[in-house]
Amino acid sequence: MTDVAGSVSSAILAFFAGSSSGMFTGITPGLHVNLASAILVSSAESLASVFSSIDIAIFIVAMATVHTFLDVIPSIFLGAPSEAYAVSVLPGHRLLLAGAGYEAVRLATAGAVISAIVSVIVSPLLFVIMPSLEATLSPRMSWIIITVTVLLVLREKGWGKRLKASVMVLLAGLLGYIVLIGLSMDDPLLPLLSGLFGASTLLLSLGESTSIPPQFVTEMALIPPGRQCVLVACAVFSGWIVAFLPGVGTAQAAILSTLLLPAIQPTEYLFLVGGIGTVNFIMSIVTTATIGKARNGAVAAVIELIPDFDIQTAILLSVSALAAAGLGAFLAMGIGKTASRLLSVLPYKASCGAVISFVTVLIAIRSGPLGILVFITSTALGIIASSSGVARLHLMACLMVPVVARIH
Amino acid sequence: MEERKIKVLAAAILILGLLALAYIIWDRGSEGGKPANSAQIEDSESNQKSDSSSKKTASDSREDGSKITITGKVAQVIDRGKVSFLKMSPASKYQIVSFDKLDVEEGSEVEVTGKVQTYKGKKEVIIDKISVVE
Repeated sequence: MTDVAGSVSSAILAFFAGSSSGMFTGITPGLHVNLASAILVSSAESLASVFSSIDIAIFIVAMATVHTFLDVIPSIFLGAPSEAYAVSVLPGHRLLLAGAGYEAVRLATAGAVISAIVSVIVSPLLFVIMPSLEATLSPRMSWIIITVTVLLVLREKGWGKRLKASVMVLLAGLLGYIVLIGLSMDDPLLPLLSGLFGASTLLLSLGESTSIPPQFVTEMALIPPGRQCVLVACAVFSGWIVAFLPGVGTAQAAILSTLLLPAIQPTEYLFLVGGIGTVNFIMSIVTTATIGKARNGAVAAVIELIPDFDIQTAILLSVSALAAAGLGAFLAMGIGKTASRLLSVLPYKASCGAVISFVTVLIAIRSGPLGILVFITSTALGIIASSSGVARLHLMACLMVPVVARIH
Repeated sequence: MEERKIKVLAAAILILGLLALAYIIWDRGSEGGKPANSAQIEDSESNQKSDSSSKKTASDSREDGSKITITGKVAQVIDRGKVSFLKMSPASKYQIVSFDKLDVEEGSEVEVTGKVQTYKGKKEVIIDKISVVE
């Protein structure tokens, strides 16, 4: 009895420790949850004397779930460019520039909480349909990825922009191929994605006369319940697609959802994106148990610890993710409020400089000099993409091209 | 959705989720810890078949390299390509691993003989021989 009580206590302890770590990784720009998961797995042998494999798995799941709630905060509060680039950035930045950064956090959190609940409810259905669906779609995976990429290019308005988007896809794909297949380094995704999507935005902000207006904690942007149901349905569907297809990111899933919802408003887009990130992670757990393939770095880390990952494990980890979603919502709204107050006090340019320096040091430690070279190259490509006026999500080809190359 | 409603939903799933997590861990722990529910384990080296009183439980720790025989019903076979995992019913405290394809049907009674080894801090049994018990 004492042993069982001890197991429950250590699982709950692992849950809260993982949630705290997820808070840290989520609000730190450039610190991806996959990196933290990989470090944990590499030290699993020494941790095994204190924690069981299942405790470490609960830690990782809680960390990754809370991370999906909090990573919206640095995206909105630290990645905001000037008005000149406002057309090619996420709607969260637009709300920030209107003094409503906290509204963006609240909307993303609402989308994430509701979508997490719905995804856990519908997950038993996936246990039934996934194996046959995987058998049907797996041989066509590369064509699905190519179709997604082409659809996103065609979504750009006008042939000039479509041409620019195609060039971005080719350049990002080439860079991704070289970094992920050609080069040998630790954590190649850290310099690649931090440069393409993080440092490039911050550097553009530093070069412009960006000033953040005073922020207000308001509840003006509300979405009608009927529309919320439509958005949650889209988030669950898209989040599951992301969890199922290799190389497709949540950004692509969100844009594909907007193909289904052409008249989507910026506030609705935030609600949708918040949901997709969390659904993607929960669905990854279910997908792994049913088809045996991890499409998410944190779940891949869990498989390292629990190779015989079965349905019972998936249920245990889904429940942990659901609880972490509840905690993540409180943390996101609390930290979002604090961030919006701090932003009015802190000098914006100095904050951007500090973030870039932090990420550079992190890359130097994790990936070495080659990582710094990749970071510089990918940052340059990110700046070119932003300056060309096309959506930066085309740069996700850096993940899609290596996946297609590996399939063939 | 207003902040108050988000907080109510979040509190509900946090509490329910934690209760469910505690229950599942408790349930797993209870099953693994009860000798009567564990898959039968023999010590092949001494060739002394275990009975209910001498049955090895979750608390015992065999040294790496020692031979072991486990009997029980096949609950699930997990095929991961180069490696397969055998889940027994009632659950075995060991992770049972095979580097060959496992050709056993779920529900059949089997006798597994293998060597104990530690992998990432977890005890597992690498199958040398598996046979269906009639």
